[in-house]
Amino acid sequence: MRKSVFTVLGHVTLGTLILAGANSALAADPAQVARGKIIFKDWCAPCHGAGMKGHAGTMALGVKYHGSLPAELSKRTDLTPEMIDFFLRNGVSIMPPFRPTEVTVSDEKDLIAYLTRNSK
Amino acid sequence: MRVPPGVTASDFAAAIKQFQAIVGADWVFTSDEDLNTYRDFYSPLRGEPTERVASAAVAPTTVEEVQAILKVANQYSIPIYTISTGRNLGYGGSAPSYSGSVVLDLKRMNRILEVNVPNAYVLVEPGVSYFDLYRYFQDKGIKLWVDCPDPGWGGLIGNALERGSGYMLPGIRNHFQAHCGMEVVLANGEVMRTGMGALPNAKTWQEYKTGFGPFIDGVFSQSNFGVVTKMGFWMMPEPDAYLKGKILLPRYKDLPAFVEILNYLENTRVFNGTPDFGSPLLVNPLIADWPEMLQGDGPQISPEHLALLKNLKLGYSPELEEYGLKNKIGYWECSLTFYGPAKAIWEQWEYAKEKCRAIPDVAFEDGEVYKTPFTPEQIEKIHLPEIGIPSLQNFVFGARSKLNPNPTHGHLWFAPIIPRNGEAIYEINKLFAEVAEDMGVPIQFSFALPACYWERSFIVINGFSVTEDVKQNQKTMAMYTELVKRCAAKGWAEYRSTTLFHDEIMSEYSFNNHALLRFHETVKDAVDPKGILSAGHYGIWPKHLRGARK
Amino acid sequence: MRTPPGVTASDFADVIKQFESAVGPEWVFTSDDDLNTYRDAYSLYLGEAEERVASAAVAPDNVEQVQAIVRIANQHRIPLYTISTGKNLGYGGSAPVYSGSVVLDLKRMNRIIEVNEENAYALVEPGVSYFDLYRYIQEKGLKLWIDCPDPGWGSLMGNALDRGTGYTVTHLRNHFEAHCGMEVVLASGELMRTGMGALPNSETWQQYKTGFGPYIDGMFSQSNFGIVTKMGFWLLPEPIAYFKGQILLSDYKDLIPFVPILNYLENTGIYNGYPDIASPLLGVPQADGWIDMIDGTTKPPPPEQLELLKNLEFGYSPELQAYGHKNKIPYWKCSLTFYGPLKVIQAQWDFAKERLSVIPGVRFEDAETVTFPLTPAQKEGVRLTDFGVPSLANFVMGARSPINPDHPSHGHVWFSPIIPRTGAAVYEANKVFQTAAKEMGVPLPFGFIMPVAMTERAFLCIFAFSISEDPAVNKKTREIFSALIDRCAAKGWGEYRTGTIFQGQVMRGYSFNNNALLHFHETVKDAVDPNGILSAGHYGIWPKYLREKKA
Repeated sequence: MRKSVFTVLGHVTLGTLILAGANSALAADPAQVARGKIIFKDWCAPCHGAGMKGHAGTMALGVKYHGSLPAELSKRTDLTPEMIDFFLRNGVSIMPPFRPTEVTVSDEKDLIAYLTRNSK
Repeated sequence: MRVPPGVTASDFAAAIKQFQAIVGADWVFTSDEDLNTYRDFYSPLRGEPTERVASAAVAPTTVEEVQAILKVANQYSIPIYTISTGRNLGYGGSAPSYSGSVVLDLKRMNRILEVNVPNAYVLVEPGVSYFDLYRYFQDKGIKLWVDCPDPGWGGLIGNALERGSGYMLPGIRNHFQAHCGMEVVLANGEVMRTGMGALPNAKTWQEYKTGFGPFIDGVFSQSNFGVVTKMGFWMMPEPDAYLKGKILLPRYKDLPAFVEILNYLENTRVFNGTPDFGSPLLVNPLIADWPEMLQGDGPQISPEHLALLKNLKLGYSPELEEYGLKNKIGYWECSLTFYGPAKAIWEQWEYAKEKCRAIPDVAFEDGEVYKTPFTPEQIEKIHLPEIGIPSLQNFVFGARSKLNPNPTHGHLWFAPIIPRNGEAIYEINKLFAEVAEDMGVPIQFSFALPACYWERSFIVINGFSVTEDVKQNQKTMAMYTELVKRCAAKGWAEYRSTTLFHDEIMSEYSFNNHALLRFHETVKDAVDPKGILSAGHYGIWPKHLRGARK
Repeated sequence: MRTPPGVTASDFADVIKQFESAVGPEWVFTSDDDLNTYRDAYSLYLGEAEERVASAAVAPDNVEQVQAIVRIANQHRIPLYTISTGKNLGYGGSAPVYSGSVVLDLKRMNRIIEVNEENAYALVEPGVSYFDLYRYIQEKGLKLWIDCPDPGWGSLMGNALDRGTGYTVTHLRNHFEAHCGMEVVLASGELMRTGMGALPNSETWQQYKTGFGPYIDGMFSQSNFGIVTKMGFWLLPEPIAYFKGQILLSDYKDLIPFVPILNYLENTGIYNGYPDIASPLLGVPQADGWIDMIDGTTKPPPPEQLELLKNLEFGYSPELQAYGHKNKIPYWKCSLTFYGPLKVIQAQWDFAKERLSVIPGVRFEDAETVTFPLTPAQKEGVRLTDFGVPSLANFVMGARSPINPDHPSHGHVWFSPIIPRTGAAVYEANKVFQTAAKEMGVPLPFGFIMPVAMTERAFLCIFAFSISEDPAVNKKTREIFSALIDRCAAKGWGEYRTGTIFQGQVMRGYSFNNNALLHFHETVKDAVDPNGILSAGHYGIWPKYLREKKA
């Protein structure tokens, strides 16, 4: 059974998680980031790819943040594992949640590593 | 009076009386003389004790009569065998699969219920033949073409339910696929409509096939789950023009490369008619050229050519190929037909030729673009079903002719589906030759060519002649059985067969201990609990007769 | 832990253990967190007590595991609900029809078993999405196209079984019809193959559809008679070129003469792509115009036109038509697409124009010529699904956007009746829709619902109602949806597919001869799934024990 990502990361200890959020350099295993990039390309980019045109996610975030944050998710530096997990597993607006058979628990970890690779 | 198996004479007499009350005494047949007309005219068991015959026949003219007949059949457990026009020659004719059944003859239900010209469809009853519908179109000046199989007297419904095919556009010449909407009388006598027809006052019964929920029409084809009393069919509006071009391939080994090109052209709809294979060098004509060849004096062949034909291995010798190359006689020919705007189809043919030029020394015979309406001279030159004209032209096959002074007594079709590639053609010919040698029965052609009735696969159709000689017929049947088995071992099987071989063929479709047949039996028992409908058709037997199955 | 209706907690706990040993504990989901991802993301009962939810989900990796699950379910009479990729958004998503069912999630079965380039077919498992197959084809450099629906993450099998459609050539757009061969796990747990696949070592399972004997594949579409675990699909070899031509019609009534000509051209194969009908004058774009409209690239109509759009009767006013004439804005616009050799499609387009020129005032535009393969730059500019490339571009609809910055929707439900392929039916359908909307006080998404020629010979009208966060709005939407079903049925029109919550109602409308068709389905259901474990209620077909309960 899938455990929530917090529990999974909790094995590492909560401290590491906070650290990971605080300093991506510590957590970002390049191989994991590379795997995460593929997950992003396969599962997220069809809506969150580069450019507003035909990318529902990029368009929606562009309109929402008016440029105060990058419209493209992969360029964000403020994403946290908690945020990513929340939206991935709950969806928002027209974005449906993704099931653990689609983006698996380990895929999610990779995805988080990728999307938080530049997090400050 | 004959009696169906398992029915008492008195019960049967009572049932016959009720049938007479339903349809009128004139339309219930029990005399040997009348029942003779319900025999399978092409049966290899003709006159043998094992020939399958009817105990009676009943011919309703309305759906209500069909319902009433089935209720009586249920009451007395009378086995019924449904035919539409009964012209299923070479595949079992009008005789029942289960000998002694009462034939339910729907020929009198021959109403053309609706013809919609702008939406190009018809709604018909089972007795409507291709000839009937064609005459109707002609009488009313309707510019719709009906896609016909070779025998024009067949019924649109019967042919579609047996999953026959014709010659025009791929989506239309697959006759089952070209249907849209059904009405079915179930074994319990209830009337059901499928697709959009289940909607009272449906406006799109003939416009949208699948309705809502399970799309069940297919279960009534090649089966015995209900009596289909109405079907809609999509017609082809008269096109602007017609063109046929021929491609001539010089070498025996040209088929694999050619078939690959053919598939591309068909799958992208560069041509939209039925490709037709022949072999000028092996004197094996195109399907379209059969009538002409048999009606005339036959092909003119030089003595040298004739001599070369005697020593071939699977249709090949280097000498024959050399002779063909020298005299510019194609080893293979394939015609492509095109329907559409005159300029467009010419460009389609040009493109097809361009693609085929990848094959060394390929040659072409450009056809002429015929614009509609055709002149009588143009029609004369066309294989009629290709332009929506039903005919019986191909019955010259087997009839007495200059080439064939000893006419046959009909034929049995052996029709396996093989993969759409060149190698499969050589491979099946190898198999045919081996079986012919083992069994000592000659096959129809020195080289069997595939037909392209269906997209994506080939079908190889062989006709085995039925003769007056019982022993010869037995040999033919043994050969048929052997071919079924050996093809199955190769992973090939028949799309349809004469009723005598339904069990054998169905038993080859045996994946996971006959899971598919057992599924059919589960459905059969549920929808026809007394097992009154067409017992044994396509190998599906009702529960009480299933014990007989091996 | 949740439990399915009629199953005790201890029995269910035991069943879950058995599922875990069949597929591994990590692939059985029972926590609320996990099951949240199985909800219908676009439910009209969003967050309400009636929302249909799963009691658990189980995700097998192979056919043997599916068989094992089905056997366990049979033994304990556990209701299962099968999904392939579960992306059936707007039609029920991944949530069960019968609330409390265990979702049988086949997403992990995502093997591309065979792709044959010469014969242009693929054999796939249920979890294979359009994206997955496209990536595979690209990686291998095969010159094959897949006909895709709008959502590229959907399953080839799931979409075909729900009888979805796509955008390329006529003969492959009907996804169910484009399939060839099936493998099915029956309710008994037995494995069956249909068509030529019933022949051991068959060489033509993906080449000839109907096999020998009853052609039963259709029974497994829009139903609950078995679990389909493999399907073959016919693909399109890459054509030489693509051309799109536009037909511009000036008058409201022009659909009457136009549609029969369109039918002639389609039925004789003169164009072989998807015809796309829109109304520039009414501001309804073609499929490739939505994105530009939503992201604000397309400028809104000038004030004069906008003003005229406010007072229309079923999309018409003489003033609007006069405005269109004056400003050369067509009332209707229809594109025809052609796939084939360039010279051929040019001649076909010429012929189409000739035929259409009988309509007074008709104009034409050569819109787009594309040769293949597509360059990366072209992939940015074209409507991908016209070229066999899966995408999610159409999800801009309903998302937060420049034209809808503040109220992004929470999804949508599709209302999709089939109407006749005539111009008159298009007007009549709009009359029915708009009359209902007016009477019930619910706005329709557009001033005119355009007919869609997805399948041959018929028109489909398809439009969406948005899901709201406000239950009162959703309730009203359910009411109009339900009323539209009934009003269309009264006209003799029925839906081709619908959201799971309306499946019972739609199926009941297909009621000829006292629901003879539904009774037939029920007879089959009871025979092939006697314990009624498979997808109870799907498309209105309930197993016996639940029919009795409802009666």
